[in-house]
Amino acid sequence: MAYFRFKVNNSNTSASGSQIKEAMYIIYNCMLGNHTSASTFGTLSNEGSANEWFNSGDSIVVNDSAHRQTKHTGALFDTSTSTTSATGVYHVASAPYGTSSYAYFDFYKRHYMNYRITGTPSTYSNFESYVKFRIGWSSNTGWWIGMQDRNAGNTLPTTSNFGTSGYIGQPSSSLEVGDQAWDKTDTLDLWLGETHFGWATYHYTGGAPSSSNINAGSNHFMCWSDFPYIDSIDGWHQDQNTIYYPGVMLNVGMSQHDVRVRDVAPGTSDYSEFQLLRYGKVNGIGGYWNSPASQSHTNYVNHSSGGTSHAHFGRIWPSPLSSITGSPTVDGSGPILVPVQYQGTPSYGYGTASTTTVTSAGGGLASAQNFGDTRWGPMLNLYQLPDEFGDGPGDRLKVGSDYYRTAWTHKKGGNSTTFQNTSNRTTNVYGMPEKSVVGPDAL
Amino acid sequence: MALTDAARIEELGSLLGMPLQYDSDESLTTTEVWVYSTESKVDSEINARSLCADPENDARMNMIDGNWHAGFMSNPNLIDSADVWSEITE
Repeated sequence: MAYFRFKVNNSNTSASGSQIKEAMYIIYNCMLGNHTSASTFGTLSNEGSANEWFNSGDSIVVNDSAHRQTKHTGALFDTSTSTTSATGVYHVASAPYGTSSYAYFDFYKRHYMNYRITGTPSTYSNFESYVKFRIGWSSNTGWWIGMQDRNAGNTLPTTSNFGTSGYIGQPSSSLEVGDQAWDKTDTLDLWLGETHFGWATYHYTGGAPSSSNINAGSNHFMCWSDFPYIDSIDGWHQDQNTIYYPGVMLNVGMSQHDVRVRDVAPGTSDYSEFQLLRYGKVNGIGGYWNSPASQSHTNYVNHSSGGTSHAHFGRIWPSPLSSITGSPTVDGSGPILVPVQYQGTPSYGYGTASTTTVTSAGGGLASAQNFGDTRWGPMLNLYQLPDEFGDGPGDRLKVGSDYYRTAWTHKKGGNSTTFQNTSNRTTNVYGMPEKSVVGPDAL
Repeated sequence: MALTDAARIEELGSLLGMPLQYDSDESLTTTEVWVYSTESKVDSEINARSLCADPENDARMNMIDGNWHAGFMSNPNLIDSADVWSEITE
């Protein structure tokens, strides 16, 4: 996939949405494929001037055609705004807009087997899964990202929205990156791939990583990953429920905390967030469970408190709470890349409530049309790296002939339910590939 | 007219994934929600933006028993120009 790292110009203190719209245009043009080098930031229409918003010399653009590959002939990003006539994997919903204290732009992402993508075999002409994203900035809440299902409903993360500002997770003002003004953000990372989209934001208020500044800063990472298409499952479910999308959102972050500081526990004033949610999750034959909009934000993995008593929660594996350390191999220290799997039907996905086992999640026996996540462990183009791997967020690593970039997300290590625990001293690191990873053949 | 029956709010709110509020005793404190259903399968008629003009009043939508349902935490002042949605009040 294409990869972009935007280093914010911290000398720019603008809080004007109509001005920050120019920065949105730079990001937007990168996604469209109009920048193949950071040196051209600020040179295209509506982008302002060079280095006005991002320091080109410290920014990274990996965006040549070799990194924008697609499975079918449709382009990675199409400028059409029509959900029916656009031919690409991604396409525009609305160009950057800014006024007053906010700015944003919208785009669609289709599942890689969506038949509207040019070249998709006609065999799959009923499959049309897509979602819509909004990337925005507001002086009130900083950077936010929201996504909606095909009906323009069910906004995720569950406290985001498609209005003029939104939170990226925690349902309060506490989990924010970049609020107040442009200079209150340090870096943005964007992965644009056929089979997933990733977005990370960081703000370091204490300068270089230091345990004395552990309670300064904030970070957020969100990705949306396609599952491999299986016609008997995915085609069937989308016929039943048009918002069904074989994919999952991971939303994770911490605030009042510098995620880069190694071997130190979170402070008691820290905030954290974890959401793993889907659209049209199968809940028995002909039944679909909607992701709950009320999350506890304090318990994670198998214990996510969703305010619903009849649904099973999925999880990812390796557990986001498990320590991962490198171990010696013939090629150096490993394991270096552990594929993160989505597991839709853990035995007790919801946790402690006795009424929420898989067997009470819906009627009927397990089949391709029931508990549709019985395909165990689709991978997400997301890789678990050893804790605190590398020098910091955005590091580049090479495995085989492929390059990856890191995201530092949260503290973990000594607690089985929450990030915010004094036993959690190491920082979780994920890796995502720079180049486009096309979807596998349909089954 | 909003749906105010606590048991129905919990039942439908849970199926729709609505952000229902509870007190420390886990008693429901949400007192009213707005829920609608339709037999329509037409994309333009079931699009959330065709129901509510306020993008910050998020529609929580789900397929329940073969029909689309949409729930709102505040009054959406339903648009429904195709007149295909029915409000659930009890």
